[in-house]
Amino acid sequence: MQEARSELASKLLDPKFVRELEVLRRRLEVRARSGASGEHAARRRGGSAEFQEHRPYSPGDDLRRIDWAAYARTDEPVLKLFRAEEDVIVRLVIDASASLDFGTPSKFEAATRLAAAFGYMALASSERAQVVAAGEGIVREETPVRGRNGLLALLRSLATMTPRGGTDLSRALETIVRKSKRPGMLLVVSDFFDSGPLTTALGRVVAAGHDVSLVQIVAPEEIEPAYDGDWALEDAETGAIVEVTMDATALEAYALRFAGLCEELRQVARRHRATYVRARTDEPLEGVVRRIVSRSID
Amino acid sequence: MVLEFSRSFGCVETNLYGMFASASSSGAPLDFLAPKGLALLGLLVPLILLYILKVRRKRLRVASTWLWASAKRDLIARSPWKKLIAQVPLVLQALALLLLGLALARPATRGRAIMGDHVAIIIDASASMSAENVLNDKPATRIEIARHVAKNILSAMSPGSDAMLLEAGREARVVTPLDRDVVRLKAALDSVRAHDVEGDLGAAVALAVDRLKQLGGSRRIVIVTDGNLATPKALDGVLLPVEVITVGGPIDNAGIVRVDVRSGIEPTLKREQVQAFLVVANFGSSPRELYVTMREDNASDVLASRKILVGPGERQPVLLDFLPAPGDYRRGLIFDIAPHDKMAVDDTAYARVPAGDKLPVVYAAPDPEKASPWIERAIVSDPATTLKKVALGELANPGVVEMDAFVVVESACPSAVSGGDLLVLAPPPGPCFGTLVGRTLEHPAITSWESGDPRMRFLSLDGVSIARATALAPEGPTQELIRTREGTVATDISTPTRTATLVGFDVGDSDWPLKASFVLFMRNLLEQARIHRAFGVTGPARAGEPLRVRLPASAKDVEVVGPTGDKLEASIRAGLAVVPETSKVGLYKFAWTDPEAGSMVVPANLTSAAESNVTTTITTADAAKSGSVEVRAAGNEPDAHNEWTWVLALCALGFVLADVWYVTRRPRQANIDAAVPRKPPAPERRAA
Repeated sequence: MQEARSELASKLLDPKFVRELEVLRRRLEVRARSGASGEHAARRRGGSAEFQEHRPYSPGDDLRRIDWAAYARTDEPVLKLFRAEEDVIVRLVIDASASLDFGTPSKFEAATRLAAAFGYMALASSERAQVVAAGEGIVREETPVRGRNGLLALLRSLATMTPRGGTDLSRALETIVRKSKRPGMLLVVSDFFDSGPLTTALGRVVAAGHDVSLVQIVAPEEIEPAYDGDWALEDAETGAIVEVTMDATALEAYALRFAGLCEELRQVARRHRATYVRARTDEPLEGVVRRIVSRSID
Repeated sequence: MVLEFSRSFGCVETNLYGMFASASSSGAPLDFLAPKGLALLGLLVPLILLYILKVRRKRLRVASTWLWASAKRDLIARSPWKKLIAQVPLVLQALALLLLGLALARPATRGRAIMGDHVAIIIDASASMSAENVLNDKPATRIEIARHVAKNILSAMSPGSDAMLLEAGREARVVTPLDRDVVRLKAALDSVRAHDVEGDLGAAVALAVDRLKQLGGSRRIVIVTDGNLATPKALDGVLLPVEVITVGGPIDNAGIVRVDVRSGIEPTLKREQVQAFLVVANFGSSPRELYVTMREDNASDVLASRKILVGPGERQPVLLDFLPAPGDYRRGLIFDIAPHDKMAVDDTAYARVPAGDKLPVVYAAPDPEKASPWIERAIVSDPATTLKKVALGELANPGVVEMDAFVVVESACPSAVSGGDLLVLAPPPGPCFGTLVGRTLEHPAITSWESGDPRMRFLSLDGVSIARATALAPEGPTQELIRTREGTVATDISTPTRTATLVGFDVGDSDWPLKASFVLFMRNLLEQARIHRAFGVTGPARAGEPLRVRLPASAKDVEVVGPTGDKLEASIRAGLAVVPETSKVGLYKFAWTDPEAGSMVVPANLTSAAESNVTTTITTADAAKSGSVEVRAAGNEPDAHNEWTWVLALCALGFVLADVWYVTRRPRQANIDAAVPRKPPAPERRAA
């Protein structure tokens, strides 16, 4: 058991990376609260130990919350209010479509490692973390885990996922919004090669109170294709063929289209105060995690 | 593009017209010397099939084709020809294969034999070229066919070569100097016409050789003719390669090959009679029944006619006569044979009614009463003469000497004498019409005389002794008529306007009048004068040669109207009017006004058996005698071709190299920095 745990951990999280994550998790700010008691101070007043303020007693208030010492001093019944402390559920939405099975290392590997890193940070902070595999909707939804003890289950669920099928991120996000009783942090890791109404779905997610972070995983050859000559490009998800003669104009046209996609995601992130980070599969993940934690928009 | 298959020498030849020139009229045909090479074009089918069937594109699995499909739509919208450009290798390979197939078929343009860096094209413009033949199933004269052939030659000229055009009439004429502009050359060809003259190809060939010999590169002379050469040896010894292209086929022709008009006496009525002698020749292969008619110019009435039957290859003399009225003198006569044939120019001949039957003779002596009786007796012995004796001083008086009178001057040599032919007897020492009259010779012994001269015809001076004579020193030895041991005693002092004779002794000082040769000499002189009077010209009145007409010495301005009614350029000097160019047969009308008005018609005829005989053609055998001359009929396949194989092969190689370059080229790197996109378009998304 212990060996399996360490093997999974070393596969997705190497010790050096974990040390880095330990530092970064303290800087991770989640803008959404999921309602259960936790380590994160909530905006609402609640039952934590942290005093917030007094207010006059109103009939019907809980008598146990009357500050008797203050009543003795002022003859005015006042209630002692405390800041509520809520936990956060971090939903790791991983695009598990076939398009992620591309590149060396594959985009899916980078995506799972990134999800594992955020899962670790969440669990290390005694938050809940849930892995959701998105394809043409939600193809797999793991039970949320909490605390460091849940790390193994989280890593196991990540390790057992395989990319296949098509993508419909918008449907997956709609499903998450519909099924989530309370909002949380939503880390969407995908290449976003999805022609569906993604921006509309993201708007609904944000409107539902989720703290959204978009991580676009791309292979270097998707940014700068190094092809030459006549090619029949086969779509990994649909099998559709697009015949392209790779010349300068074709490459330029593709680059413009790719830039258009990135720009769209950037605009969505700005509009909804979300995070957008583009991660190349050949770059170290530490930098990517750092940019996400710092809420940057690439 | 017209494909013409013709069988020649047992093999099939394919003629491809119109690749390098317009096909219908002047295009040079393209032949395939090895048509089997075209079979290579069959490979085009598998090539295209391979392109259709083969997996041309490398397959590549990518994460998503979503963006690529959008990019492709952008490309198609930006450059609709993108799809065609994608087929560039197929196009290049197909072109290379096509050219290779054509190259293997050994394409060749006809007429390499006439190709060269410098080509002189000589068009025969003689009278026989006006004969009618057939071109493209339509009647056309040989000159029109020659122009057509010449245009084809010009179209077949290789790039960079130049050509000059010459017209070979009686004289050679450069139509266009060496020029590379085919359009200009073809336009100049249209000005080439057939003239009613006996052609002289030799002069044109000599002119072409003279123009080409100083040039480098390959030079060639092409003669387009009907092969009816008036001078068959014109092509002998030509230094440059000559190709003769014959146009027109043999046709039956009959024509008037000789005409002569004299005055005579009608034997029964004893009246003056105009007698016309014609020779009609039939050069055809079948007998011809012809009507020969004579009429005056501007008159429709026929003066005389004969019906004759001329056998093939036969010449038949015809005599036509009529009794002239005084108003008929010097009027034009037109002779015609009917029915006309395909060469009309020799079916008509022209002459002039002689000016009376008696030749006026003016005998001028210092004392007319003491004139030499021998001379007088010799003149009056000719019944067709009228003698008028005048004193030397009267010669200059107007009206004393008629325009065409025979003038005899004794013991003097006046510088200006009117009239026609002239005889000067025993002139005083000093210059006399170019001959210097010198010292007195005692008993000169005659050693020789110019028997070839018409004046010395049929006579012998053997045994003639002269007691005294003056030595004559002519300007040239050709002028000597009678030579003695001591010197020349008779010379020819003819001028361009008249025939003149100088005898350096008084015939009374010799026993010559006692000999028959003296009578013959005087008759020869009178006969020459009569001939000149009859025609009024000093030279032969044949079309193509300058027309020299003797007019009154006082005439200054002359107007000449040709047979076609157009005014001709003429010069006049000392009573001799010269029309430099007479390209048409017919009656030339001369008119002068100053100081005495007068007019005259002068006939000009073709009368050339060589030109009329349009059945004769130059043959390859004739050419073989001439060495470097090659003869072929127009339209026949040449022995050699100008092959274009290497040009097509080079082009094919070029296409192959272009294909290799296209396939192996490196794509141009575009600015594809995604971080700084150039107006990136929003992704195309499905509706929610």
